[in-house]
This record gives sequence, structure tokens and C-alpha cells, in this order.
Amino acid sequence: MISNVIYSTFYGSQFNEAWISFKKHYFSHKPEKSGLILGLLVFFLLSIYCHESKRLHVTKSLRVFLPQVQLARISFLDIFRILIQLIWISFINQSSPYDKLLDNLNLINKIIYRGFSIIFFPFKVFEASSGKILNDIENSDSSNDGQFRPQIYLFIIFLLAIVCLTIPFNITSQLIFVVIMWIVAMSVRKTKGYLPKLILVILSLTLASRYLFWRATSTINTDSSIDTTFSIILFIAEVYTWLILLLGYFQIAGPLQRKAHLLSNDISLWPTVDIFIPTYNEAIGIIKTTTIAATNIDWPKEKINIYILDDGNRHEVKELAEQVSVGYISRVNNTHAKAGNINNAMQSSHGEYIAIFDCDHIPVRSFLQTTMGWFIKDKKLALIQTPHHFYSPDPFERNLSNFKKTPNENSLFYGVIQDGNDLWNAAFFCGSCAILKRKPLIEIGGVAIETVTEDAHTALKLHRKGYTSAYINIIQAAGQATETLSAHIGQRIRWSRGMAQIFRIDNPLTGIGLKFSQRLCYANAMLHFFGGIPRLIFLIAPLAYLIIHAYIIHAPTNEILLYALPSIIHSNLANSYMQGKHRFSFWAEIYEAVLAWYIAIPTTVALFKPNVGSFNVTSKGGIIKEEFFDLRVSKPYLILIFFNIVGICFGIYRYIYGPEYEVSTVIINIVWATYNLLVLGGAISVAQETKQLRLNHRIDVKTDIVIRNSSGHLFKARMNNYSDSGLGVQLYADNLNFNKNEHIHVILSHGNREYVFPAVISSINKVYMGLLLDNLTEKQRRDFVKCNYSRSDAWCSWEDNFSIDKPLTSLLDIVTVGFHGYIILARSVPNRITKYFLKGKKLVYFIKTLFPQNIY
Amino acid sequence: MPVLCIQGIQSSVGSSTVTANVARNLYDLNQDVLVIDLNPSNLLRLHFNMDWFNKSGWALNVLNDEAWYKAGFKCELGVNFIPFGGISYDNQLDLLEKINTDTWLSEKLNLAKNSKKKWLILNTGSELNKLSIQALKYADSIIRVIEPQVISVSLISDSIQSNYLKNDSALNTKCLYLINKFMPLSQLDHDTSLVLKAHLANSLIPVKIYYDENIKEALAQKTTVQLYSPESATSKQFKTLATWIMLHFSHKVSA
Repeated sequence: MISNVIYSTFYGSQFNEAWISFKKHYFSHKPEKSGLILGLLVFFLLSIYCHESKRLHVTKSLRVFLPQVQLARISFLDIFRILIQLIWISFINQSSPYDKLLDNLNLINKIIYRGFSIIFFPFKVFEASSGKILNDIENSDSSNDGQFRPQIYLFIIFLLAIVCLTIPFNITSQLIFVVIMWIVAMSVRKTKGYLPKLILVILSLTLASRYLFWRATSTINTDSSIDTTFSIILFIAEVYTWLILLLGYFQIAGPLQRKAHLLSNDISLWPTVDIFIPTYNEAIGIIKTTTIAATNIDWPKEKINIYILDDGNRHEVKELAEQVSVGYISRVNNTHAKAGNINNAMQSSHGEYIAIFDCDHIPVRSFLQTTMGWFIKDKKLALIQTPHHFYSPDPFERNLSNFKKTPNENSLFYGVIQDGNDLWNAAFFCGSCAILKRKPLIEIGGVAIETVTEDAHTALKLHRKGYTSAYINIIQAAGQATETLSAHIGQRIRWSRGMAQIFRIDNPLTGIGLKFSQRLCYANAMLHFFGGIPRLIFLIAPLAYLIIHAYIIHAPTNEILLYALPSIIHSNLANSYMQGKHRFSFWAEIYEAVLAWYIAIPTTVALFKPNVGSFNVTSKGGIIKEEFFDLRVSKPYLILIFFNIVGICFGIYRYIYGPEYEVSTVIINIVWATYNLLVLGGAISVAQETKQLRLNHRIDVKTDIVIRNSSGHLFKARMNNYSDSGLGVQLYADNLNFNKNEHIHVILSHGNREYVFPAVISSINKVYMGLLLDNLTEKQRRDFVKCNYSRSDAWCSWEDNFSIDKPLTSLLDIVTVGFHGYIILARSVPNRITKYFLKGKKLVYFIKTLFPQNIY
Repeated sequence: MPVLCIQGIQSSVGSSTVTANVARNLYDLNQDVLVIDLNPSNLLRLHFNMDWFNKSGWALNVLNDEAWYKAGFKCELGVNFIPFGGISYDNQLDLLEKINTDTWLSEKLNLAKNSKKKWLILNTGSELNKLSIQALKYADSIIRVIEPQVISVSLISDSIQSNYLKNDSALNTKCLYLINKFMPLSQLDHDTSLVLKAHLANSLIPVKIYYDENIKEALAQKTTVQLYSPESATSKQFKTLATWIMLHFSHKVSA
């Protein structure tokens, strides 16, 4: 009896509360009259209908029950939506709509999970056991007697490989072979170490070589001359890809990951260093920051000399040099561009070492102390390179808006390839953020002037003389990336032309002084740039069948799948394992597709006529006022897209009207063409240039600072970003009485002291303030650079955000990016068509609201 | 129970302000805090919102032969404090006369030592007399508040107070130095701080308290800067200081 009483009061109060909360939610916002009546109706229906325990919950969030109805503004059609939804809920519902639904969902979820775990159980076991075995083997390595005779092993491996690659299988045996390979790869993939890497590489090479052998021996079409031609062209492209794969594995087999070597405590033993900052036509502000940062480098003052190498012969650069009190070197003519500039400066300077920074690469203060130790340790060392790091997004990152989420194009080269080169003593000079030893450099006649990529050629010449090089993968300088896609492409055209020139006039595969491994690394670096034509071939290969009905691969479909797919999957697995956080799977497809057309011609030309072409300066750090679609750059992709679409239309025609035995071939080629379309769509997305309004890119940080207002109050704040000219600040409360245009002081701590900078509030929005630095003195400007750009840990945690590559996720990303390209295309076609397109989209959304929806 | 003694290297360097703010922040860090004002200028009470005209305090209680601890207050946010009390010059002489044994203060303070978690913070005047010397000896650590000025460099190397502390090695090892009223806009303050750092090495607390209008305004509101302006830079610095002190003591205890 008593319990009943308690229950009823409890229940009563609950209903009351529900009513109050309902009123608060839906009546204070002035709904329309019809909405009010309907809202009331819904409330009472639900209250009566619902189980008591859920009543409060339900009314508090009617939105949960009626997600498709805007309760604040109920229209006539909503009556139907509400009715449909109520019927839907009651149809499922027995006691309470939630519980039933959730129970069912949970059950389904459980069943699926169980199923998966049963299917994947063997893999889990394999993974665990192989991990243990591999670790055991690696740990037992030390017991070797050190008598390693590679010749014998190589011979055995060679024999085994011949057997493995050439033995013909029928379909069933090939299937079994492939599945076993796959299981092995999946089992070792999760274990870290050298051995799993080797296993993955060997598996991938085996399958790729087997594929190539099979292609060469049993799939070249000799039926008609057209078929044969296409067949052979595709085969050559595939051989090229295989070669690059092979060389790539060799190159990054064991990244050295060299650590900094400590200098001796006796400063008098430290060598003298010249710092060169070559410039031609870059903005004065960029040069200034870099020069100031160079003066901040920690090194004995009498042992460091800084020079601005001005090829533009500009008066204001000379003034800047005087202001910052660094040397200024210019010359009358500017033959041989940057290389000539450096060579000229070498005549009027005397340091034992020469550090080179492009004028937009801002060094941190620890640059020399991190690197110079290796010169002291290794007397044959002639070159140390550090990574090029960009604090602003490159065109890919900006236009695809994946800055700091996906590793950029650079990341693979500086994160993995150079480290890999270093193992083979083949790390090469990249033009900036590097130190050269003067003596060897003079010995080879200064920086190479024969090609437009003076950097790589200089390194090659040094290696030929028997000098060594080193790469230290610690970001010790940062700069701005190229601003537009066309500028980016221009830069890559220069690189590819230069590399092709070197390949032609000073081929690393021949000539004196190089070790075999160095030859391979250089060859790969150069051959890599010849990838334009093969990439184009892959992009149009399916059309050969779809449009002109040429059989380019003369084999049954299932056989093609059994040979080609495993080889693709395994090379992805191995590369994903080795490149980890520096390149996500499939992204190379987009990077290469964008460049393919543009590098195809210059490399080919340079191969035959190496002396054509001049040096072009890559422009950086501009602004893009309006979003625009770069039609000029994207023309080649549009043409390729057009042909691929035509090909797919042909394919559909062939599917419907063609003979039955061709159906599977048609499907394969359509899938291939669709994939090509996606990749090309990605290229289109990149060509859509998004806005870039800031001239000085703001660099994100999180640092505690202090702000002093004009009345002498000090407030704590957080600096969110900074640039040359200002900083973004976040306050801890929004009632601190800061006003726009107020003059304040910013106090930054660095080391064990504070620096004060005057600033003006340029914008204020609640707790966020934009500050502009206000008439800094020369000393303050220097201090500002010291507190920010020059911090030795300024770029240390940059790559921490990147997750590990997940191949399937990145495939999905590529698909999304590809689709996005077509949405961009749809937007830029005439209004008449888009209008219908957009109407169709609206209609779909409208119909969607009429459907009942699940509630959670 | 840790006993902390806060003393200015000279008068008006802000030792009462530091005491009040450190006490507040320790309290915010879930510590039980008792602050005793041993400074005859009787200013600490103003940081804890005590009535302007209320002159009561432990010194008066002692002179009137009442229990000294009955002069204690608990300010509304939880810090316990005992004001000195408003006394005249004659009263002060009487008081010093009453301190006739070396353990006079410690006998009294031991009464307050009953809880492990409890902090005892003593704010003494910069002048040396029987009272302040006993407080210095009783404390586990002494925080000497200095201003980043040229005279401070002179005072830490040669003054009655500094020489006394230096000559007693037990006291000397207990000394910590805190820079207060640092003006970041002043180049001289930066330079003097570096000189002080060179002189004091590890005994200089690595937290500086800035010269901030917020502190002055907080006192005008008779409260600590924590309450008056929690977003101010100094409120954060006091918080850091309190955390540093806690770590310092826990380190000492474990060692």
C-alpha cells in the first residue's frame, strides 16, 4: 500500500517535470499556431502512449522521436510525417520503442561480431604466432659467428626465385599459391621489425615478377599488328613499373635514421661556417625572416659568416643586409642561376663549410649544432642534408583540404627515401637546408652548372670522387610551399627535366667512382621522373579494348585477376608497411596522375636534347583572392576523362550487344576505366584552387603567453598561431575589456627570459583576438623570430598527428576525392544543366524526409 | 606539517601579498592552510577581507593574557588565518619582553600542529627581532621575497638580515628566493633578474611574479588576485608558485 503511494507521487511529479520541460522547449520559441496545436497533440499522444519510465525522456527530446519534423515550425505535410513515424514506432514497439529496437540492433551486432571473430580467428592465431617466431629469430641474430657469405645465399635464392617465378601453374594451383602468400603477408603485417619487412618485400617481388614473367610468356597478343603494338606498349609500361618497384624496395630497404652526433665541448675546435642565402626575385619580407633566423643560429660568432646572395641586384636587399649586419654578395650577370650564384659567392668567402638556405627556408637555432658533429666524425663527409619542411599547405593539401591530416607528397621523399639512400651512402643534395664542405666542392669545380637540377648533380659528382654524404631526418628549417598547382607543376617540370639531363649527360649507371648500390639509388631517383608516359599508358589502356576492341592482354579474365590483383595487393601491403606514416596507400596515384602529362614531354625532350631548357624560379608565398578552377592546367585531365567516359559508354554497349564470352573482359575493363576516372577526378579536385588570403601564412602553435593591456593589467592567454606580422591569441575569459585597435604588449617566454612586443588588436571575437605587431624595432623583430621560428623544437611534433596508413581507408579517401572532382566539374558546367542537377538533389532529400527513421 | 616562512628582503616588497596568494592557492589545491601574521604592520588581514576597523589579533590576546589562537578567523573561502593585531610601539616592546625563552614561539605554534595535511604559513616582518628570528628557525623553508632591482643585489649579498641568515648554515640552506613585482617592459628588470639568477643559482624559485595592476586592484577589493581576476597573468603565476612549493616540500619529505 505504502509503496503504491510513493510510486504515484513520483510518477505525478515526473509527468509534471516533463510538461514543464516540454513547454520550455517548444513554446518559448514562438511556434506558428498550427505548430503549437500539433505540438500539443504530439506531446499528449506520446505521453499517453509511452511507458511511464520513458515519459520524461521522450518529452524532453521530441526530436529524438520525430527527427524528420522541425517542431518549431510545423507545416501541413508534417502531419503525415508524424503519422507515418507514429505508425512506424508502434509497429515495432511492444513495451517501449527504444528497448525493443536497441535489443534487436544489439543482437544483430553481436551476431555479426561473432561471425567476424570466427572467420578471423585463424588470422589472429597466425598473426600472434608469426609475431613471436619473427621476434625470436631477430633476437637470436647475435649468436651468428659473423661469417656471412652472401654469394652462397644469393645463389640459392636465385635458384629458388627462378623456380618460383617461372613454373607455370594452372588456375587452381595459382589460386592456392596466391591465397597462401596472402595469408603469410597478412600474418606478418602487424609485427614490427626487419624480418617481416623483408618477408613482405620478397612476397611482393615474387608475385610481381611472376606476373611479369607470365605476361611476357603467355599473354602477348600476336594476332594482329594493332593488338601486338598495344600489347607491347602496355607490357613495356609494366616492365618500367616493375623496375621502379624493385629499385624502390632496394632504396628504402633499411632507412638509416641517423641521429645527431655531438660536437666536442671545446668550442675552439668547431669549424668555420658560411651561410649562403641565395635569392633572385623573392619578396623582401621572406628574405628578412630567413636572414634574421640565420643570425640566431647558435654558433660562435667569430666562426659564422652570413651572406645574402642576391642575383637580382636589388638595392633594398643590400639595405636589408646592412640593417641585419650580414654580408651581401651580388654579381653583374646571372649565368647558371642558383648554381652560378653560389659559385660566385664561394670566391669571396672562406668558411670551411657552406650551409645553404633558399631564402624562404627559415632555419632553427640548433641547425648547425645538430648537423656539424658528423663532419667532425667522418672526414670524408662532404654533404649533410636535412629535410625540407613546409609550414603552409602545398596545392594538394590546400585544395583537397587535408593539410596535416594526410602526409604530403614531400613526406615520402624526406621521411623514407632519403633515409634509405643514406644507408647506401647515396643521400643527395636538395639545394637547400644542407651543408657542403668547401674543399671537396672546389675539387669538383663548385656547384654543378650543366643541368637545371644543380643539387642532385653536385651530389653525384661528390660521390664519384669518393666522398660520402649524410642525411639527418630532423626538421631544422621550414618554409612556404608552392602556392598554386601550376607553380607546383612548374617546379616538378624543372626537376624532371634536370634529372633526365643528368641521366643523359652524366649517367650514374656508368662512369667512375660509384658503388653499385649508389648507382641503383641514383638511377631510381632519375628513372622515377620518367614515369609520366607509363602513367598515361595506364590511364588509357582499358580504352584500347573498350573503344577499338584490341586485346591487349591475351588471357582469360580469371587468370588476369589471379596474376594481376595479388601483385597489386602485395606491393601495396609492402609499401604501406615500409612507408608507414609518410605516404598513405593510393595517394601516389593522384600525385602521379596530376604530373604525368606535364613531365612526360620535358623528360623525353631532355633525354634526346639535354641542353634545351632554362632554369625557372619557383614562385612561393602568394595570395589567391578568389576560388577558381584552373582550366588551363586541367585540360589534359579533362581530355583523358572524356575518353574514359566514351570508353565506358562503349563498354556498356559491348556488354549489352557483344558476345557472351566477352562479358567478363568488358567488366574488367569498365572497372579499370572507372578507377582511372576516379584518379582523374582527384586531379580535377586539385585543380580547383581554393582561396588563400593571407600573404604570411600563420603557423599553428599552442603556447602560453601573457598580455599586458594599456592600463597595466596582465592577463594570461594562449597563442594559437603566429606569422611574421602578427599572432592569434585566445583569452581565458571574454569580459576582460580589450577593444579593437587598442595598443597592448605581448610577453613571450623563451629559454629562461621574457621578451615583450608591442601589438595592436586588429580583430576581437569573444575570447579570440587577432594581433598585429606594431612598429617593432630591429631588435624586437629579431627577438620575435627567436621566440618563434628559431625555436629548436619548432617543428618537432609536426608529424605526430598523422596516423598509421590504413589501406582501405585511404582507398575510400581517394574515391571521395575523385567524386568531389566530378561535383566540381558539375558546378562549372552551364547553369541550365546544374539547375536540374540541383533540383534532383533537392527532390531526393525531400523524399528522404517522408521515410520513417530509426531512433536511438 | 610543513611550515613555511615568508619574509621580505626589505619592507614593502610585497611579502603579505605573496603570503595571502600562496595560501589561497594551496587551499585551492585541497590543502588545509593556517596563516599566521607575525608582521607588526598587520596588513595580511586586508587580503582576507577582514573588517578595516577591526584591530584584534594574536598579539593583543597575548598582551591581555588571553589564548593567542582565539584571535583566529576563517575567511569565507576556507583559509584559516590569525591576524597580528593593531598594537602601539609600547605594546610591541612589551610583547618582545614577554618572549623570554628561545622556544616561546614554537611552544605556541606546536599547538597548531595537529594535522598532517595542514600547512602553516608564517608572514614575518623584514626586521630582525626575537619574534622573527624564532619564526625563521621554526620554519622548514624560508621564502625571501625580492624585487628585481639593483639594491636587491646589494641587499642579498650584504645586509643585517642576509648576513644573519648566511652565518647560520641551518638557516642558509632553508632559504629560497622569489622575484616579485617584475616589470616585463623594463629592460633593467630583465637584466637584474639575470644577475640575481647568477647570484642565487638554484635557490631562486623558477617562477616570477609580475608587477600587475590586478594585484593592486585585488587588494583594493580586500581579496586575493585569484578571486578578483582569475584570468590575470599573476593569478596563474601564484598558482604555479603554489604547485612548485608543494612539489618542493613533497620532495623534501621523501628525501
